[in-house]
Amino acid sequence: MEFVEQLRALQAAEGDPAKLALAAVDLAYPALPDGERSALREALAAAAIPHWCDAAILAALLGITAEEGHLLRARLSRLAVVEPFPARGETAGNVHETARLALRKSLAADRSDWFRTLSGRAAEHFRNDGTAAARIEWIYHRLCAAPDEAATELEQLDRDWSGTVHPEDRQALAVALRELTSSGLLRARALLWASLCIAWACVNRVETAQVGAGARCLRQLARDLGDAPAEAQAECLLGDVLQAQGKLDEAQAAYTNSLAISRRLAEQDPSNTGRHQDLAATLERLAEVLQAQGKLGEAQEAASESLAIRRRLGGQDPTSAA
Amino acid sequence: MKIVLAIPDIACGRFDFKGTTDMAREVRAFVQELGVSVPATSLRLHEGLDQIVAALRQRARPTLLIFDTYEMAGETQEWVEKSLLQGLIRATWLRVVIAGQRVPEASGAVWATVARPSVQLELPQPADWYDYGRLHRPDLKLEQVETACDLARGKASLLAQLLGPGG
Repeated sequence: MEFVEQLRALQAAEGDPAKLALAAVDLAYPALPDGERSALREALAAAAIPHWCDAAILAALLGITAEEGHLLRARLSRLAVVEPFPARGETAGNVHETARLALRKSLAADRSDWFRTLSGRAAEHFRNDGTAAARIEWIYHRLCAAPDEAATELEQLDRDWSGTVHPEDRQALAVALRELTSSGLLRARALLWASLCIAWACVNRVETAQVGAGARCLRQLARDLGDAPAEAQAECLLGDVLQAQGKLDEAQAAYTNSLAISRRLAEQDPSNTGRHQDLAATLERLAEVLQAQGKLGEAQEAASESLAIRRRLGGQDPTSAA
Repeated sequence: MKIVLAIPDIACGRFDFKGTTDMAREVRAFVQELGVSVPATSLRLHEGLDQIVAALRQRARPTLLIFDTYEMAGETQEWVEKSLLQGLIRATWLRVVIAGQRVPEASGAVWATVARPSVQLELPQPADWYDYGRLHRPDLKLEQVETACDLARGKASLLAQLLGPGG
């Protein structure tokens, strides 16, 4: 391909960030037959779905053989828009962030079915990998492939991780979720639960001020969507914000609202240990604010009930006692 | 890093915060050219890095540490700014380079006296790309490069692909 033809490939992109990213294939492989270049462009777009990619991931995404995956991955590595990602493996690489986000956005807008298919395949690829990075990658893709189911899965994942994983991992989850919320790819419950996880990550970093009025917005969104567990979480979040502001009476009211919802949910679904964990956690918060107000008797009562629930859960599942 | 590694007697390590989780592999790569032991994987990232720097401090020979994608460092930013960089005041054997879309703010920091001013990287201009491109295409014209820069919206990765050795 002559230089002038390469310029034409750039011109055809018309300044569109996603098309410009794909034009890298034409610039890097001018001598490749059209069909192979087209396949490579598809591979680049697919490689932009996950945060990193190797031959196995590429093969899973495109439904091709491992050998074909290796060939495409090797070719992609010659593109300046793809860089090595040693933290994810010796052969792993990632599409530059700006190009990756542009390609994802373009796929989601123009080829939404294919975007969901790729996201579903990516989620499936990471489903059984228990490492923190893979769990984050799994839920990130689930939220794009099956948003409503994934919202419930995210609720469970965040609960499982609460107090059990390195704080860096929860922060990394929040970073991945923030990427989805900022790109406008999430709606309804998926957006609600992703926003709640992000807000909790802020609270865990003692950046409660950043949550601020967001807690009330999330509570309203939860009410609008009729998502009682999310409403309980949002009330709890609001309680934390108000407590950090020294508004103890208002914080107590928010925790009490959360407690009422959590209690109802736990009674409705007694076999759901997650609901009981939430109830215990809310009681602990309520006990803390009651203690700060000098209401020691009530604080003691709430703390005792929380402890009893924790003990009961500990008897059922040792890991949930933490 | 390639340049520094060629100089004998200087230990060098590059750490990329891009991963933010499961950093064991990144830590292993980081210590590879530093000649110290890999910290236990059960440690939190800042604890592992602390252990590496403690081992380097004991050895106290010229060392360069490079930290990339700093904006993704998360909680480890606190370790970098409050532990590593503060330690630079006495650690004359150590130099630290931090790269990223966001880097630590020196003004008002304890370590400000030993910090060099931040360098804001700017996109190369068409004339720079022309000089680069001519290394690989001697017949290249400046107008062509200007057109390419315009069409590529100045994207460095695309222009490097177009004007570099394989373009």
